[in-house]
Amino acid sequence: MGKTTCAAATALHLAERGAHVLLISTDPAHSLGDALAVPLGDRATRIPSRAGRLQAVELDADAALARWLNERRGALRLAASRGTYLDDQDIDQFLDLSVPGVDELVGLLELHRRATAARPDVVVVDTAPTGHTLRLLSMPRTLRNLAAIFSGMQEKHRVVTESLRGWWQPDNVDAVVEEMDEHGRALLELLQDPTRCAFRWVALAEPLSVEESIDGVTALRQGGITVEELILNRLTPPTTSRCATCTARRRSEAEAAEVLTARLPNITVRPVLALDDEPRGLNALRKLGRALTTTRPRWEPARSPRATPAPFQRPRHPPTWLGLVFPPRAQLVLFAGKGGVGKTTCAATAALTLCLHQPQRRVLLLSADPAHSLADVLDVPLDDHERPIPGPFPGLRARELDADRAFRVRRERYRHAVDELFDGLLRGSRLDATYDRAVMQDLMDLAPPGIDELFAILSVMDVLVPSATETARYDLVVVDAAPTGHALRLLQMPEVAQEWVRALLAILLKYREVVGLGRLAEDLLELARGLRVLGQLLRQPERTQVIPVTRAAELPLAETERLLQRLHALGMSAPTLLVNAVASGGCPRCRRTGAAQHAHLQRLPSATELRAPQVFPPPRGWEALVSLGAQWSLAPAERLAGRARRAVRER
Amino acid sequence: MIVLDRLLVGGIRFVLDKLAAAAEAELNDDTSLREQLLAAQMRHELGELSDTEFAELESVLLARLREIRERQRQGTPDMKDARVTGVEIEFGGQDPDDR
Repeated sequence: MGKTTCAAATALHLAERGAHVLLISTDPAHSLGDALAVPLGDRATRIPSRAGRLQAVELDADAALARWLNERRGALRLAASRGTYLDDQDIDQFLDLSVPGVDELVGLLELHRRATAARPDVVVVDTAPTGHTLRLLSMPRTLRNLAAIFSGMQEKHRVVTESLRGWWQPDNVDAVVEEMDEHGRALLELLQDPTRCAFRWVALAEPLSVEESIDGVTALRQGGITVEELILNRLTPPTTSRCATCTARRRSEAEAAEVLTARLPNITVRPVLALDDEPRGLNALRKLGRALTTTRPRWEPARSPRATPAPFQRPRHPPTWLGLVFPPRAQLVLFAGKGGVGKTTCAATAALTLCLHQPQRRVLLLSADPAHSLADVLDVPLDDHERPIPGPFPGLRARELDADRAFRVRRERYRHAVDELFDGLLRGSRLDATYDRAVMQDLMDLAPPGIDELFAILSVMDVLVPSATETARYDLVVVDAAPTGHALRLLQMPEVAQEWVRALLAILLKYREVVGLGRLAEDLLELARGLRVLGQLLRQPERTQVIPVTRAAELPLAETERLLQRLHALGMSAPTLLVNAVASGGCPRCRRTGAAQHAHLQRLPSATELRAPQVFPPPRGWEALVSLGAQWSLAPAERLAGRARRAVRER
Repeated sequence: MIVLDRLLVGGIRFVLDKLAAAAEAELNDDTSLREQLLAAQMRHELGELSDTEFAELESVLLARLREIRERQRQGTPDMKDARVTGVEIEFGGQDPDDR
């Protein structure tokens, strides 16, 4: 979408008008340093602006959580030991576990801390892509709920002390609980105060981006947050030549913009024209900053009539790329990449093409991005159930994961098990552990951080890993993953979740004599095994593949390189790269874009490269997607050979 | 005195009934065995039991579970049908009331 570039340009512009600006990226896959062309880290880096003061930070969420936790560890441990049956050793074990998807939880807290410490005039935030930004904004409430849980743990101690001693002196546990609640309240107030907090939504004039923006802006507004402006980025400038590509593109953009203004009537739309190449570095950002702040943007939507699409022709032969993307024994194929590169379109195209040519294969196409686009791409309604897709795809089902719903389902299952546990605990005792039950119920109502990644992994596990009673329901799961940062969290999830499950198993074993082992133990054991099997499956290259989807531009390619490094470190296989939206037009502008893309592609690592052409209007529905799949091609062998030679030389 | 004896005997009979029930549970109820098996599986998953140790423990527990199932299938009269019909008590000392 160009979120990072727009955030950087805005921050630079504000700073050079004399303000002290703090620019923070909370996207776990940072691109801010790439956009500014300055290496950044968790510590604020001074950016050489011509005037004012600009500092930039790429937030390290894990480090931030550790910092936050360490400052409050004593109080949290005390609260937990007062309010639960766990001893210090058990509590420390839990406090030391890594928390999945911590980015959203600490993101806002850390923003608050840094903004308070550095006292800048303005804080500009480059957020994570849509789905997780919406999660981030629910964090003030989560924080207050957490405070309520710790307060509940403290309550028993408070009541007992009061009844024994007659009075209660608040201690540091109360202080931490109060601080959490206060921070949650203050953050929510800040987010909902239009005089102090402004949202600028960045979108592309493409159908998927428009749908996502409408959903996103609506969700923000429902949360009481003001969206000041919508930046319609990278619009094709008017062209004097009669370039078919540019004309089709401008028409498609005009249609998308029309939908946007019709469905979001109360929003200011700021059109921003595309540059030949992505703006990178301070000079390019200055130019964009002017475009983001000038009062009269010039963009005339095209009004030419829509061309009749060519009739659908069913491809006779499977394309050459099919076996590369889906090796015969593949069970899990994930499409990952930066926001806006076209992951969903690519995942859907690949899955449809596979099922068309191999109808016997049972395939689940799963969208795990909380901002779903799969239904829009396929042009069919989808939900959290596995639904067949109309067309010649007997083996294919699709599902848009609803992590909240999946969480509620599982929670109900465990609520019973936890009640059973308490009944076991109270066997023969006249006491009713009212406070403990209350804490436990509150704890169960609290959605875990990283809920999207957790439930995506559990859903994959449920259909791919055979259980004691059921065989695997699918041969292959194709995942349309959330953008890079969260896709990586997803891939780390089996290990992280398993640590938690094992810690819980150990606790149950330890207190076995008191509470007995019930259904909870059985369920957790099954979960631990499933996660272990899935973790192994992820590391078998013939079974699991990640297909990084990228565009031939600076920021997506830089992110792809980091993604490949991280995948390598995780022991995962990504032998095929998919470069989406490769330009093809013949006018001077298209040729300039093509040349810039070509130059960027030279730096790609020596993986097999699959190219998807840019088409207008963007494909929608299975026929358009299958036709697109027939146009995907492998990069010319001589270019790959040249790159391989270069790689050998570099080594 | 008779009242006292009745109480005493009744109490002992109650305890013995309980014992019989417990023995019956031990003999025919697989809940406890299942729980032991589950605990063994958990310890194996946590790496507290090696593969061999687990396999040994599992085969013992499974054999006992099979025994129970076999007994249940053959309909062997189980302890549920056993009833305590009488209690014999001998007093070693002299009854203080007889003095």
